[in-house]
Amino acid sequence: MQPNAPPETIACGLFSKKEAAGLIAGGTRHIHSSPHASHDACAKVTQESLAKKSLHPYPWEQHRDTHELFLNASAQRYQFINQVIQRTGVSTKRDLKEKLESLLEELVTNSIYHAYQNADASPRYARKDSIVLSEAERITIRFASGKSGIFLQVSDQGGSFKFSDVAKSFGRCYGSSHQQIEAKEGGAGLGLYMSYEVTTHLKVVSVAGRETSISCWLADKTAYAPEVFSFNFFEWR
Amino acid sequence: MVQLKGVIDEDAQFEAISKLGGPLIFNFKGLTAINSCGVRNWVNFLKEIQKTEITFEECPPLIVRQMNMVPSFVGHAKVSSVYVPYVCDNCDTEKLVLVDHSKFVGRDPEIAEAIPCESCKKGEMELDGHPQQYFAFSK
Repeated sequence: MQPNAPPETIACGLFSKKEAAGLIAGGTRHIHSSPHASHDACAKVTQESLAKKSLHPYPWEQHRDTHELFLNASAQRYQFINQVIQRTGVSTKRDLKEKLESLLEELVTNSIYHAYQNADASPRYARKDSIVLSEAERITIRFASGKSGIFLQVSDQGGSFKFSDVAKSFGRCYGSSHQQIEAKEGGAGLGLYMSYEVTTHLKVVSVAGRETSISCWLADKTAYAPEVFSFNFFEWR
Repeated sequence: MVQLKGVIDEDAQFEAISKLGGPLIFNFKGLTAINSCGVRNWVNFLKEIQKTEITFEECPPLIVRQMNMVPSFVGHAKVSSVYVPYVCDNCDTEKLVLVDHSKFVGRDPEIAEAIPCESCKKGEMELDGHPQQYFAFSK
């Protein structure tokens, strides 16, 4: 299915994640599920960002004490994941710890192995390779521990992530069960779907050929409301 | 019975298990993590042994999460037991309670919404999540 909703379409209302995924598969890049609909604070930020063609930060992205890690090699992955777990203080909260580990694993691994492409658009690195990234390929992990959850951002310098990839993946993952898994080598196509499922807010900014940045908010169970979530994909050229 | 321990990821190999023949019982208690490539490896493995009778037992929350997100993760298996997380509203202690399939297969989940906390003896341990969502895989 080719996404065909205009890029500036914003869907506001109350949705299930499955309904929202259907909208994403149909081409909607901005979804805000909230009882406040278009008056939702995050929805207003999206409206402003699209109208002014410049990114404004969402409330859930704004933190005073944000930490930063720079990943230069695939072998550093698990060490960095452990560092984030320790520094966000979630090691004793099993559910949040498991979700954060899973999220980091998916986002960081995808950045390492899918962000960088050869001239023919084939992935530069195979999934099982142990690689050292150049300075121009370095991956940045930013994170902060908030009162009711964890902020996480993983950025690469590839800028190869396209909304059409997400739409296709969501169409498959939320479609019939036997289509969920991609049979080809490489990623299973489940990574962003799994990230979308566990997070409350998920934002992708992709600047073609330059950078892809995936930001998300992982809510603590005390603040978790399944009907309140957002998904935003900004694709700039 | 096959006890699975550690991590299921892109390096997980199940050939040795498929040579065992069946029926097979997979015990997931010792599993600590699984990523999307691991899920794919597992789903493909289940397809290879689709003629074998298989059962999942002692599924921890991280496996239940996969069962709910990826229906083909369960495939043709029967789920005989899962761990359900409870958290104390006073001291935040967590406890995983093993629940038998008779309490959730083909029916609305019949589980305690709260249990006394044995750690602080003051608070109540509440189910960490929504029963309908947690047991969605059983529908």
